[in-house]
Amino acid sequence: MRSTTWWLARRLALAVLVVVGAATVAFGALQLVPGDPVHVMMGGAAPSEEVYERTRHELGYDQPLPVRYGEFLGQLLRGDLGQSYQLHQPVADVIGSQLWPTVQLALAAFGLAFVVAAALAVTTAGRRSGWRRVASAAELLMISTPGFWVGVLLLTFFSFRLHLFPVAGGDSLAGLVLPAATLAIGLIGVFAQVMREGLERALEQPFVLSARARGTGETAVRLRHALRHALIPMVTLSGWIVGSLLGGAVLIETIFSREGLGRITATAIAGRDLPLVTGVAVVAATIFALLNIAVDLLYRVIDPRMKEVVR
Amino acid sequence: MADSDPLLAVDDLRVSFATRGGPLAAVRGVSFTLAAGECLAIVGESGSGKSVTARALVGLVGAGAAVSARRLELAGQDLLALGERDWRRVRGRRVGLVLQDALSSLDPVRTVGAEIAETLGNHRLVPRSARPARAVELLAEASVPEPALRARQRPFELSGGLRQRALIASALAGEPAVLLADEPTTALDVSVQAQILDLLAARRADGVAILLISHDLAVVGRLADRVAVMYAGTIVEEGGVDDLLRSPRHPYTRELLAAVPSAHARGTRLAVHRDAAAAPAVAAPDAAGCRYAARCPLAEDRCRMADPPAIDVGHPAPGAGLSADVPRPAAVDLGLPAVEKGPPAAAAGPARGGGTAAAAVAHRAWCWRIDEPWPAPPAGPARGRVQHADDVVIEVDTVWKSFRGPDGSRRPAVRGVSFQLRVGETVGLLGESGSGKSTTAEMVLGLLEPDEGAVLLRGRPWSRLGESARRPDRHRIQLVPQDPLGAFDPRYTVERLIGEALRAPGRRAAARQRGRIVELLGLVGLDASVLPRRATQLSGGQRQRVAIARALAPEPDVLVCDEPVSALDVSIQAQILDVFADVQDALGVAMLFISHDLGVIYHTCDRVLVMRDGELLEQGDVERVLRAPAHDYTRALLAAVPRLGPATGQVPAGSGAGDAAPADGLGVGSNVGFGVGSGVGPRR
Ligand SMILES: Nc1ncnc2c1ncn2[C@@H]1O[C@H](COP(=O)(O)OP(=O)(O)OP(=O)(O)O)[C@@H](O)[C@H]1O
Ligand code: SF4
Ligand SMILES: [Mg+2]
Repeated sequence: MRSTTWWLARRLALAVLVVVGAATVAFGALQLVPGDPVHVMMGGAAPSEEVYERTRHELGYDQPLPVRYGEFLGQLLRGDLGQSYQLHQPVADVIGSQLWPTVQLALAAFGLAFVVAAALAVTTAGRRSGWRRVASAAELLMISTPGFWVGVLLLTFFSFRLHLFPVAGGDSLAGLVLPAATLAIGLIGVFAQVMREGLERALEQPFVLSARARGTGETAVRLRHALRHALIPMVTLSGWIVGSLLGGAVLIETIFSREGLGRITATAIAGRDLPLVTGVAVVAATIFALLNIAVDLLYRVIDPRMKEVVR
Repeated sequence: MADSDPLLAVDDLRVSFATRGGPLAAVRGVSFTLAAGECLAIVGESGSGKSVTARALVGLVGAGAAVSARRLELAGQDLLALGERDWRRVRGRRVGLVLQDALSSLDPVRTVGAEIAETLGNHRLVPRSARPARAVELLAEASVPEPALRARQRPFELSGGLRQRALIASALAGEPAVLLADEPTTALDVSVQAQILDLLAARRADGVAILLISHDLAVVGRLADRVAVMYAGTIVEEGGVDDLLRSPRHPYTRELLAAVPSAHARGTRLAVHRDAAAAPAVAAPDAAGCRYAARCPLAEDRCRMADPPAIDVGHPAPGAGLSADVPRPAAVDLGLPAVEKGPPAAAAGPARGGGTAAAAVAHRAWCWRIDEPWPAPPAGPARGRVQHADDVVIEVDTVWKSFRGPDGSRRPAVRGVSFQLRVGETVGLLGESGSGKSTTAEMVLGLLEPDEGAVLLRGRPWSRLGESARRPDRHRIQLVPQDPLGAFDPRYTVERLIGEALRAPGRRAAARQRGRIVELLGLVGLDASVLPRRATQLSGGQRQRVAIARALAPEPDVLVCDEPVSALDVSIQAQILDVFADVQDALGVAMLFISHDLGVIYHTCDRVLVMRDGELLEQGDVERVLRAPAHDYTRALLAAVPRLGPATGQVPAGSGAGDAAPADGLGVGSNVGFGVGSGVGPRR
């Protein structure tokens, strides 16, 4: 038990480092972006010299870089992400209000992708049937199709033609269906192939032969024994999964005009809203780091042997 | 056996696989019967079709396999007609299967209890709520201590022996009438092995019919009533266990028996063939003639033309071979302690029944030249093993080593061990798993620092040196691992693997050293044809040869061999042991040889160290220690060995027979490996 606590403490310390690192990178990158942040802050209008200088001073842009970096870190550690230039609201509030819709979207897409992929993999692994060929072809298609294109297609078909789901926006469950499905499609193909490979490897293991020799039926062998082993490679994919979900959210939220972190980020980048961009980077890094820890804990649940290995 | 209906009847079973290179006939016409309370053993080398035969009996040979038989019946029910659903009712309920490696045969992410309960659930034997309790009961029946605790643990948390018991418990949970045990004891320590055999013997006494698959003849001798020897998918000889092991008639059976390492063959070769590329055990399905012809020293034209007929060998005179009096030609004598072959339960089949059983079993061999005298295995060039010089290469001086356990406390792994290793000498390190053998070896290799004490290399300090001080001498001590596959980079060719050890890293550098590499391969009986292959493209025996060649590349003074043959079957093991002997004769390296197999130690070593719980219990000349052990533990170890006392007469008089022990009747310790049967007496 002591080792687990110790392990967790180390992982959390590491996570803090990662977040600070991400913030630093975002801070540095924004210094390199051409254009004057003070102008952005002041909106389109050409300000007078005096007003400009005052704003510049207020924002701290007249200080040397190291001082500004120090202040930035200090604020960050206090949990203060600063003010958005464009929205004139605290960054933390903006992100706070936009986080939930994105999390909803990501979870829904992940759940959908997982269930569909698991069904595809379990029904086709180790079988040379026509159904498997169809499934494989569909997966390849899903992997290679751009998400926005699928999104537009779904939107046209289900919303404009069939009026089944709302065209855009909406916090309702119905409003979640199309965006989540679009986001899921990019994942299903990869999930299904990884799981199928894991299943096929597991099905060749002696313990599966043992299980069958006990009279266990095929479905039970797959669900009870093999599937869990197939999840292990999925866990190693978790970084890619979170990245795809967050990255995909930017696109999907824009297409379906949904609220969310993705859309805010897109606007913030376009408008050079430095504090907001940095804030999103910090939040994303935090999510990544925490999820990674969660995933490693999950690893130990799925595969108890890991307790011996992971320290 | 035809007198009454057997429990299991197999007639002309054939299994072939569709492979890329065309059909592969893994089993070609195997027939046998099995009665309740009887144990039939199938022995044969790797790839001979033993496992496929067993799997055919539960309908699990796999997709792409074609199974046919004239008759395949279980208690009168035709198994060939079963659909998948019906098969499921047979598996686990009427026929249980136990596989070799319990670690991989139990689902690593599920608890042992859940695995056992699965059988119960599949056949609705016990209501759901009662299953966990029943699983605990079954573990207890399989003599697992603390069954309730074990049921909650996962396979990797159990020792090898407990795991194997748990696996057996899961196979027996449905109370099947037939148990197929596929190498149930391979890779287990001798004492654990003995316990597992006891467990199986008890089940047989309850009337369970056991099909025991093994390549270990000693195990077979301890449990089986009858033996069928398989080669290349066919049975080449069958008979009562005593008959067959004492007077093997088929050349292959004789080769197998001769391959068992033990004292009789000290200084002689074990394998008939030196090169790794002995004929493939599996040929095209339609090839006529004796499959063994390519390897058989007696082969003649007739053998290649037509399948040899079954020839009834007849029975030895009653009472013959039961004691030390018969060093008869080609005879093998069994010294069998411990396991009581109690009479089967009341309803047991006719094939057994106390002392009369053996007489009822036909002994047959499929061979044209059954009565030819068996040529002596090539007697090794008289190995002057005694004449090693007296200089000490390695001196281990009272080393101690402890590790931190999971609970944080320090656990001693090696406690005050001292020994010496001299030029050209082989010292065996004997002990069960966890006895500190590998830790000792790692200290000799300079991979671990002793907490106390010291290791000296040629009189100079070797332990407690900085790595830079040690580096120039590192090449002097090389390791031959148990599993070379794990030690080799899978992307490298053999040429590159050995080139690396010659300090020629990289493909091109290795190619420049090709001459030397081929020379090294020659030492271990391989030729240049393996150069471009990767480790995964080699057989187990070839791989171990490459590992030895690689260890020899930097011209070491010492080879540390960590269970180098325990993953190999008898025939391959025999070849590799011969390679070690050749290498030592040619190069005079000293060897520290770790093994849990007494026979192997006896055959290869000059001196032996016996370890338990990190302590060196005794050491001395191998003959002395294994024949007249001074320590109780050594005696117990010796008693636990399922013993196949090989024949003095197997190697025709003159070569190697001379060192057989006299029939002194002094008991277990004195008849190790010689198996003159002394002190043990008739088995039944
Ligand atoms: N599923 C399969 N597909 C193709 N060939 C197979 C398959 N299973 C087994 N074989 C082949 O059938 C032959 C017999 O294999 P089998 O496993 O029965 O050998 P074995 O006697 O049990 O050997 P071992 O002692 O190594 O376990 C081998 O040549 C093997 O390669
Ligand atoms: S039939 Fe011929 S080749 Fe086959 S085992 Fe007998 S003697 Fe050897
Ligand atoms: Mg096998």
